[in-house]
Amino acid sequence: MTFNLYFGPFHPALKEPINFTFEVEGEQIVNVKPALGYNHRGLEKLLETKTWLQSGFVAEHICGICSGSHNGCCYQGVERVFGIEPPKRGLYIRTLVWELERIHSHLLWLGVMLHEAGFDTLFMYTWRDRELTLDLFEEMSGRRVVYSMNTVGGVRRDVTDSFLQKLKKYCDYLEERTKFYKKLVLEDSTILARFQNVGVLSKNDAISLSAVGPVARASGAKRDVRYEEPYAVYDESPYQIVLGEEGDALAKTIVRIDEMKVSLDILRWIADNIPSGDYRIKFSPMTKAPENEAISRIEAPRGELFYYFKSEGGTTPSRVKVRTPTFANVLPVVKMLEGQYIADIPVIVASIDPCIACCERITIIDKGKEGVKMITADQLRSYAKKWYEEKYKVERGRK
Amino acid sequence: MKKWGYTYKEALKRLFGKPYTIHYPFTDIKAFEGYRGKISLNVNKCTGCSLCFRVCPASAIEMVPDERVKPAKRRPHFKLADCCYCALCAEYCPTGAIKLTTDYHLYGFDKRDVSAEVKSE
Ligand code: SF4
Ligand code: SF4
Repeated sequence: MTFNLYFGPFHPALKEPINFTFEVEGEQIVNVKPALGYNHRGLEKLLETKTWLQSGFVAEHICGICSGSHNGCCYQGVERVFGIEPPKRGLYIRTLVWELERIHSHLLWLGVMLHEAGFDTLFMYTWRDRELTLDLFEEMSGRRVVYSMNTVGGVRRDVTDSFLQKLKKYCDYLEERTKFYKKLVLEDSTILARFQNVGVLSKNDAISLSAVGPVARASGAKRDVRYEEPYAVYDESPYQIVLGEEGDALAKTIVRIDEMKVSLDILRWIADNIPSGDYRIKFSPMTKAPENEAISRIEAPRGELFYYFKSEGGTTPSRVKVRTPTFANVLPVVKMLEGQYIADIPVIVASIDPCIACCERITIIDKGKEGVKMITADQLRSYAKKWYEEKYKVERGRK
Repeated sequence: MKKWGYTYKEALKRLFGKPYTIHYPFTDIKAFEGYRGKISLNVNKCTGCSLCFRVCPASAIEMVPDERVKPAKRRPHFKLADCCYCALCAEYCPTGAIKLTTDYHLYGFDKRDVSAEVKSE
């Protein structure tokens, strides 16, 4: 006999608003139904009201952890719409932000994963190391979480030589720490008992369900935008794809720890080889784009991040589409959960590094009225049109 | 046995030593140079061109009347509760009237309490 177990959207073991309905037989999960849609924020629509220059600052608020990836990916798309190429130094600094962010995100994830398994000491250790990364960000960009480093045609701030020296020292320190973490994860009996053979995703399933990022790579599938379609300066950098084999939670952990090491190598290479010269080109805030469309893909810490822009020749985009990695990883996590035990749910869900809030982007909150209202697509469209017209006239002063 | 000895020694040391964490807000933590914190506006430099108002991605700027600003007689008013501290306004201000200071103590009990400093030098 099976019965339903409801998990989320508010649950102590799951910090983000997603709901799973588990059909369980005793302790074992037979079937899983995920439900998204608790946290739509309307950011794609909002992006259409912002000028090309402003778009990245809205985009970076889609996710608090990979804000640099969203910001950079968005501007890479805008540059493709305009057909401009940023200067080399700008691209190096952009890559520096992306790789530093990957380290900070993986350290954060490692802490959360260990916390889900009940290993809180190591959680404190990893988050202490992450703090150093945030300090570097603060020194480089002026903020700790939302860096706003990129702009159309380059980056907004230059890096100094003293900062690069500091970065190298940080890389040396963190390399030791990653070795320590890897040793611990592979030797500690508690971690092995919780992670080994838990939430296995086979290579075939990873490919057929379109898993992205470390989730796919831990199963041995070569899914990495830096590998498939090198952007920015990755084709010159010492980047190497990191692959796992088993596809369980342990493999996902090891792949991410090894990836941090690759990122450290890239950071060192950037510190040594960054060319001198301009780091941005001039861009006027009210520039009109040519009629064009463009896509932009980068490898965010959680996997492939995708932006699509359509321009009809105005100062704002006419359509923006964002696909974040967690959205692509929802189906694989359903596969991973099937046949597992209830006690392993937090570890399995955490193993994809979920960032649910950033995979949803549309919501309508009506504070004044109570109750739920169903509206048709046409009504929504006309509402959007009216909203636009009012907003444009009143707030922006454009006719 | 060696491990246990180490554990006890550490535990005793930490029991009587100072805490590792910083005693905020009794000890101040300085932000790095170039931090994008509270906005300050120098009204004497501002010309009232409203370029900052146009570039702001968060619509956090309102143009309000101010006699001190020449020639346009209006200056930006920053609603810091809406601001995302992107510093685009400071970047695009033609006269350099806007500066983002290193002050990150941005709290208040009301949205209206958090607004930018307006200085006249
Ligand atoms: S852009 Fe500068 S000069 Fe123009 S209104 Fe704003 S603060 Fe004043
Ligand atoms: S810092 Fe950015 S969000 Fe804040 S007022 Fe200036 S332009 Fe607007």
